[in-house]
Amino acid sequence: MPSTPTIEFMFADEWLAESEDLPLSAGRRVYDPLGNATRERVRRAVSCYHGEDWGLLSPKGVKAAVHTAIYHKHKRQVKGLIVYTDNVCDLASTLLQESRARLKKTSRSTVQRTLNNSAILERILQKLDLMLQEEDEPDFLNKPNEFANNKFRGFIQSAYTHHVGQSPIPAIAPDGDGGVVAEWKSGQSIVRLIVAPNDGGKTYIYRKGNQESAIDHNPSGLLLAQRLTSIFGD
Amino acid sequence: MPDVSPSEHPLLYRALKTAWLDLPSQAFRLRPAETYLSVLLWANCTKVFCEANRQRCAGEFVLETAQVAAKWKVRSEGKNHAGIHGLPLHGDDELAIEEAATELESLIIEVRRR
Repeated sequence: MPSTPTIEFMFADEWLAESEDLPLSAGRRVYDPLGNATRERVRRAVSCYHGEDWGLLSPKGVKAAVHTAIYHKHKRQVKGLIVYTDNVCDLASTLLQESRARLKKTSRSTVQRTLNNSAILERILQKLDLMLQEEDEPDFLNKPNEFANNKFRGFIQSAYTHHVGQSPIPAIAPDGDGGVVAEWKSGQSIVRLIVAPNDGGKTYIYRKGNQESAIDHNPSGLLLAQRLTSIFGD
Repeated sequence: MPDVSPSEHPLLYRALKTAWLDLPSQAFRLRPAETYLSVLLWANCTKVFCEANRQRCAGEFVLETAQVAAKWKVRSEGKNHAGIHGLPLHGDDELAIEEAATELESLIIEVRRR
């Protein structure tokens, strides 16, 4: 558990672990000991780009994930943390442009080139947990139902125990009828996992690469990992 | 219903759910009871007034009518309401569904957020 609040930043698909410009250090885990309401406030505060969830990082934007464990016992300090992270995000945004070129020269010891699978898995599951807290609309279910939630979770957990190559972090959305969809996308390359809300619905994997578009009608975690690797590279 | 004229209505507006901002292709697949994809012909929406009469609307995806009409039928379905016809129905061929959603997503020329 960190002794001071730490912040992780993502530039493109790279993690800046430490930088002489940013007096920050980064850990691999994101602690989440706070209540949902507070977490949401922190999430909004640290999202430098609007509308995105902090657990799923935009490949084009600056994002911050804050280790809030230190504040668990002193929740009144959270407000200060939000101001602090806001300021740091502003600083990061300013530095982003000038940092890009320098980043390429930074040694591997200071830049994590890829998130490890467990970190990505953790973020996907956090996003799924947030979806489960959404309110449904009369004509649109924002929450995946139990069937889809369990099935999706199983696929993702299984897939990320295998090698998924250089696949990007997926976007996740409800299908409006209790199911859930995940999409890994980079340029024109796409892999989608569609999980139906019940056994009678169609659950499948869609993939689109340079040479092919195809459907897998009997998906599994292993197959998903294989498709991610084949589409996005090893 | 008559076809929508691209010269009269050069743009189509797909009212969007917040969840679709992250995953736009989701906005372009038919749901179980739908036979066409609903779009607006104009969208003078504000935070308190929604042309699509939605309780929660996050904005619109804007598409060019001519580009959509080059591949699918765009028919008037009411005063400010049109439908994109010819998309694969829910439960039909999965590859066709995904390809259509991917292609329509690629036609988005603007995302208007609210």
